[in-house]
Amino acid sequence: MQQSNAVIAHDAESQLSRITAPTLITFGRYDRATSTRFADRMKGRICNSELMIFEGCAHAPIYEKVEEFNDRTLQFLKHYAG
Amino acid sequence: MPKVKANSITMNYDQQGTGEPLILIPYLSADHACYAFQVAEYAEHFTCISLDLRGTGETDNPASAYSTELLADDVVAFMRALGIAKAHVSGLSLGAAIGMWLASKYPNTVKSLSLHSGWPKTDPYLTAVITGFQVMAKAMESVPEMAILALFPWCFTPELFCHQARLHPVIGSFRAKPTSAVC
Repeated sequence: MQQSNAVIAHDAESQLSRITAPTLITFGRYDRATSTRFADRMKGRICNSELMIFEGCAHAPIYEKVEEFNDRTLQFLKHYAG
Repeated sequence: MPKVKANSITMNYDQQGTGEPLILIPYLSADHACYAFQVAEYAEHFTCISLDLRGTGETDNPASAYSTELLADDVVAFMRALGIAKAHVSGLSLGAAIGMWLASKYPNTVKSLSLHSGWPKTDPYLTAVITGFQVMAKAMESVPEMAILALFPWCFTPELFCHQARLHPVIGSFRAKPTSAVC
C-alpha cells in the first residue's frame, strides 16, 4: 500500500514554480482521475511549459493511442535534445 | 536486467537505445515494462532507461512509508549511480508526480520534463479513487486481476476497456506479486 499512500499524500503544488526545465504537460480528454481540471494550475505555475490534450483517451494515452502519443511526445523530446 | 544500489535500496532497470538519456518513471503498481510501446520508438533517438520504483518489479520493497518526494530522491540517486548528470525525464500519473519533485528539487538534473496524466496535489476526488483502489486490491490476490478490475476502468475509456484483447500486452507490466506488495 505504500505507493498508493504516496499518491494520496502527493502535494507538489508549491514546487511547480521551481521547475525550470522545458515541460510538456499532457492529459487524456476523457480522463476522470487526473482530468484536465489540473491543467491550468500546472500550465500556469510551470514557467516554460506547453499543454497537449489527447482526444478520445482516458488516463493512459500511452496505451490508448500509441502511435499518436509516441509521435507527439517524441516531437517535444527531440526539440529539446542536443 | 541490470541492478544498481541507490538511496540504500537495490533498483532494477532496463536500458535500450542510444542518444541522450531519457529516464522513464512508471505509474502506480507498474514496473519498467509499462513503457514497452514507447521504448520501441523512443530508443531510436534516446538511451531509454526505464526503472522499477521501490515496491515494484525487482526493486527492493522496504516496509517504511513512501512519498512522491522520496521516490524522486530514489530516481536522482539512481541517475547518480549510473553516472548520469542530466537527463530527459518522463512519467505518467505517479511517474509524473515524481517528475514534479525531481525537476523542482534537483533542477540541474533535468533537461526536459514530460508530465503525462499528472496532478499537482491530490484532491478529494482522486483520494476517493485511490482509496477505492486500495480496498479492491486488498480483496484480490492476483495482481493482473487487480489491475483489470481496480485500475484499468480508470485508465481506459469504456470502449477500449471492452476490447480486452487489446489490453493483454499491458497486463504484462504487472508482475505476479501479492497485491499488498505493489500497490
